[in-house]
Amino acid sequence: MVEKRVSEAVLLKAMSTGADYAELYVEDMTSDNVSMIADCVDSANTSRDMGAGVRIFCGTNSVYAFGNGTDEKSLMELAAKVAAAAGTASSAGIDIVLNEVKFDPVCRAEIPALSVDKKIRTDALKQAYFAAKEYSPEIVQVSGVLASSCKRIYVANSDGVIGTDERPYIRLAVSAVASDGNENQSGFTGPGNSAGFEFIQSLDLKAHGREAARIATTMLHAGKCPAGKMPVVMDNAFGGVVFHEACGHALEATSVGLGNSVFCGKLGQKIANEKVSAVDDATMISEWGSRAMSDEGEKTERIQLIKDGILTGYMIDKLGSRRMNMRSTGSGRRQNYAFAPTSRMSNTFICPGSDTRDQIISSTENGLYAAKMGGGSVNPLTGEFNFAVMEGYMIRGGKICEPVRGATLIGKGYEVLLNIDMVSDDLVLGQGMCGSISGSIQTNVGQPMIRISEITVGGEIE
Amino acid sequence: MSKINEFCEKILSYAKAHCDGEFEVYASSGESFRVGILEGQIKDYSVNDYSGISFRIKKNGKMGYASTTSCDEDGIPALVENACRNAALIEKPDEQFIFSGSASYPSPKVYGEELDGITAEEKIAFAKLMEQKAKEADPRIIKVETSLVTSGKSTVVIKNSNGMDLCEDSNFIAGYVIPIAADGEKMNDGFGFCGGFDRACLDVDKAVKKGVLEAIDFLDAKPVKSASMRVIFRNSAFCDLIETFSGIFSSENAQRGLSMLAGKEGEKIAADCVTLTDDSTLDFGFGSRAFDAEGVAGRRTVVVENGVLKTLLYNLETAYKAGVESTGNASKGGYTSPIGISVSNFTLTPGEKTLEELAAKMGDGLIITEVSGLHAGANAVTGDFSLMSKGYLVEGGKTGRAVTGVTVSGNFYELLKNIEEPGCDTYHNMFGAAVSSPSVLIGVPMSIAGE
Repeated sequence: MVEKRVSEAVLLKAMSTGADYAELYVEDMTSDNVSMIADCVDSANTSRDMGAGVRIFCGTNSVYAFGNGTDEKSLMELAAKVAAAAGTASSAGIDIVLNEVKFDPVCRAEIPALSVDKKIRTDALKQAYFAAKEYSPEIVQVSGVLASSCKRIYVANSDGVIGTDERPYIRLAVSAVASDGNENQSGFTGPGNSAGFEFIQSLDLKAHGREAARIATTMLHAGKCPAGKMPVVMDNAFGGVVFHEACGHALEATSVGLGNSVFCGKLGQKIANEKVSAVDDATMISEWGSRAMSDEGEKTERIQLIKDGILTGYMIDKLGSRRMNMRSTGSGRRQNYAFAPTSRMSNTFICPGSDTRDQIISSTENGLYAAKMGGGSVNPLTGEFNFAVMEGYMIRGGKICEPVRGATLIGKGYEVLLNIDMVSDDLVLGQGMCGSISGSIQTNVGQPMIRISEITVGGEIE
Repeated sequence: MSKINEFCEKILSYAKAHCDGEFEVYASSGESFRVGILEGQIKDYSVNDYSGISFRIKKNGKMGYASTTSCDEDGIPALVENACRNAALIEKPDEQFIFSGSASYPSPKVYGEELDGITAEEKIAFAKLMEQKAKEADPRIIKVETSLVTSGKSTVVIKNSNGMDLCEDSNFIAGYVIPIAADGEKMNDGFGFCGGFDRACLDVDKAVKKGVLEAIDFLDAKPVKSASMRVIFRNSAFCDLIETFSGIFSSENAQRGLSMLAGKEGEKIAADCVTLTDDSTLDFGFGSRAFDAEGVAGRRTVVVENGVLKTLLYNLETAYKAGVESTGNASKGGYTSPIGISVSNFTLTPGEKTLEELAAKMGDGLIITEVSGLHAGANAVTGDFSLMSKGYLVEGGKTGRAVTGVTVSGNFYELLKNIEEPGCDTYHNMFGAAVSSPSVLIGVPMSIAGE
């Protein structure tokens, strides 16, 4: 995307005032979305987003500049901006020799989505849409989006690396609203992959539409969730958002590297129940959070975060690596050129355990079964997290009973990890968008069914 | 003429020569600056410029969109063709509009000339000072996670085939600080900020005071026992709730069955003490603008008056459908987004009592100072919320110990009806939507889940 000669000149210019590292990032992304509401195609939008960013380090301090121009003149201007901000010292004798590094592709689009006729893509969306709409007369509104995009990135840095990566993304999202005239309830499904249109072809589109509608109608007839501390059984797939919020963010160098995480200095120590092992793996083929190359031009990897309850690793980017004096794990990510990269999760999940679903439910006398989770957030410093239960049921006498709504789970990450006392064997991943200081990015959460022996459930006081 | 203006003209000329129908260019461009300080040194520094151009065309009554960040002329044919192709996919039967312009436009002040004179060095010095003052404010402050100054200016341009040619510049500056307090093993952070449109609004003491107080006060905070309790939402927490649920006042949501306020115009939907106005014409409001995303003139709209829903918020399409005028609330989430609806400066009219007086009136209960996880724990379609909260216990009318690790649950539609009294301490939200609200006392007990 950029001539080698230009990249070398940009990096030299960027380092001309004393920086000890420089990086050029160029991106070209095309997205194409079709959305439906009120039973018809409501909007269609195609966008092309191009831009570049230049970053330098002076020790553990960083300077970043971005712009939309990707021609030589614009890139040199970015380099001049960061150099000016770094100081006035002149660096003599810097030599940069760039070599192209090949990364084996991790995400492949067999059928590039953007090359598929829009009518065909729209028809796929309609199948899911109308399956949701026709599920029940209580479904009063459905909205759906089929989002396709392809991002090409180019990184050149003063370590001598030139790397490129191509990232296809495709996601179907369906939201359904059920109403009885007095109250509304909603349900959502959103399967996605870093792949092409073949992913959509592999889905049972109608089943995904019906699932969103089923959740909405179930919740319409649900009573309010009782409040208080209780055992919670959390199902697989998007249930993994608990680990993502409660633990994952606090294992990113973004917080660990600055001493702002409850898990600082805890490597080798027990931080979770021995039944818990967890991994962040960007190398899974075509998964939503996968990529071959980090946004800093490094090879991605599978990181064992927790093994049998013992903390074994952090997710580390280049700047974090400097701050922590540890090797980078290729975890540098960003939404796009408008953000400097930082350490982020990719596909992060609790590994399968040895309990079964039946054992977990039947051994829980009373509690909450969180079948589907909504989103959540966390303060990595204090470990305090919260997340919403989209579809919940009471458990009584070891059996799943009536549905309940309006439940929120709150707690502290380091406490909840120790309280995971059962882990089933049925790992499934779930797709989400994760927001942090380097923007909103695709991440998979995941887990098998787990039980938390006790957690605060926000709901209604009886 | 600026580069972006020129490029917009080129797109229009190309479209005129090659397409039938009405069309429009919406462009947003600008500059941003950010400096973060850690231990007296520049931790991160960023200086940027950006532009984004959206083109839309109405063909056979249907609107198609395409956008780009590149001001490269070679990209114009693809931009226009993509929009035409997208228009052909649309099935929506509703009448679409490319506006020719309002008769006159307000000119709210949205650009602080003084900000142009503040140099990068001054901003760095301010961020350093903020960090230093936060550290010196209390021995329990062990460090400052972030001390940051951010500033920016942006230009919005709308030009179309019906002769509209609008342009508006705006800018801002803000500083924020996150001090970390520790007491033994316990750590807690706070968030303080300041900002606006002139030098005076960079108030270091105000930002530091708020951030340090939050960090220290909640070091020893504990949950309360789960109970049904009286509640005051402090001003900033109630701003967050109003912002999260502001979509219920959108006519688009109402027409789609996504707001329970559909068809309730003229009806009582809130307590007598509730008056909500939307006003994009305020000088130096964070949501002020001369025109909305369709080029309709900004204005003041009383949305709820003494508890009665006077009107929803409209853009051209929803207004036409409802047989009313646009309230000038068309918005775009970003330059690529299609036209939607959002509030501008949305304000809950204050009452007379201070927060202390409201607490005295409440007697026993909880002042909620912060709600978090709004993107997950609040459902804008149902009105239900269940949110992690922080605050202070109130006993016998006196504010006591800090509380954390609890949730407050309820329903926003019900909450509007149950507001007993708004206070006089209006707070202007600076991050996210420009919502202003005083603290409010809720008239019925709410569900607080804790220990």
